[in-house]
Amino acid sequence: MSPEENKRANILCAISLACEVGPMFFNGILSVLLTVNGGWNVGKAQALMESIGSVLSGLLFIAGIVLLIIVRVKYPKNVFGKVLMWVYIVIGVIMLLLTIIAILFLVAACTACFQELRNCPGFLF
Amino acid sequence: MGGVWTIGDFSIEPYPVAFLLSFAAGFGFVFRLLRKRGQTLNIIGCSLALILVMTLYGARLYGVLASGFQKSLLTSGTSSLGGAMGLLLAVFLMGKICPGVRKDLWMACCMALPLMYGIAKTGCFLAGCCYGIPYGGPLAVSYQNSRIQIGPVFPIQLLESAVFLLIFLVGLQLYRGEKSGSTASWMMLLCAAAKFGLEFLRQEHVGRLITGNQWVCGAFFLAAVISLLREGKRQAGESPE
Repeated sequence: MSPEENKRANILCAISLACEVGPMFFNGILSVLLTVNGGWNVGKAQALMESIGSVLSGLLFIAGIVLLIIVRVKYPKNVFGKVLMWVYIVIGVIMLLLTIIAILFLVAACTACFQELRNCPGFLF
Repeated sequence: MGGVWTIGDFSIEPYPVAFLLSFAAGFGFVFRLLRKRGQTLNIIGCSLALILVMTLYGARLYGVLASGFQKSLLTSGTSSLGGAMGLLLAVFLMGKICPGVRKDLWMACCMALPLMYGIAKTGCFLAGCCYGIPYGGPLAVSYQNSRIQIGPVFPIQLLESAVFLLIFLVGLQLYRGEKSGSTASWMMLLCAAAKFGLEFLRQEHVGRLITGNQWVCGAFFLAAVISLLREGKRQAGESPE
């Protein structure tokens, strides 16, 4: 791989990383705006902003993945690309595990709650 | 019918189980077919990652659009049709990035779609969503639990599941006897026609002439017909006199 190609691959990886990290800041700022400033908190307008924010964040996330795939396909020997791929995989696995653990905790809490409710007189289900 | 499965003190939602199973089956099928066609692990991994992300995004985005941007990606419902559109867009993008995988990936995904949809619909049947029109004949089903009280209704989810699994088997036969390379287009045509027809038996269709899902199916059907006509023309041009 020539130095020019390596440089091009590094730039693509940097943009990919920015696409993945950017939405976190964007969502953080948006949530601060929506919660701190009471003027923004007006039903439909707030829902609309949250909705558009989530769609744009998703698009940026996909753009980051696409850029990394371009690097992995066209410049498979680029080191930054390889490292970034493993970083994304590890983060993805950790998030998946955390989600499963959170769901298990939620299910256990709901099950315990329903079991307690069943003992209440007049509870139907 | 409907609700949750319980094992000891734990409750298990049937929908996420069927959803995960459908992804596992579909991705396993695509992986196997691409390996058989000689694609490298790097290309297959990249393709599956993009397909996974874009399918989930498409499935949620359809819900956001249907709500008129009143729900976010996290709170909107999951649409199988949106997922299918995301998947096909991922195949298109991957084909642009790596033209060598385009044809194989297109065929593998078009063949895997009815398998994934067929499995996912069993989850809808067990959970009690996407139910059918009011119906009192054989196999009618009622959902009576803490979350949903409906019935008797037509078991459209089961019928959809059976029809799409049948389409998957037809696709396998077409693939085995393939000479023209038109399996993917035939699969898309069959899936669009089946989904369009079955939509009439869903509760969502009551009081409407054509639903949003049917418009999308119509577009897919048209695209499949155009693709088949193109392939026919190309074949005619290639064949000796």
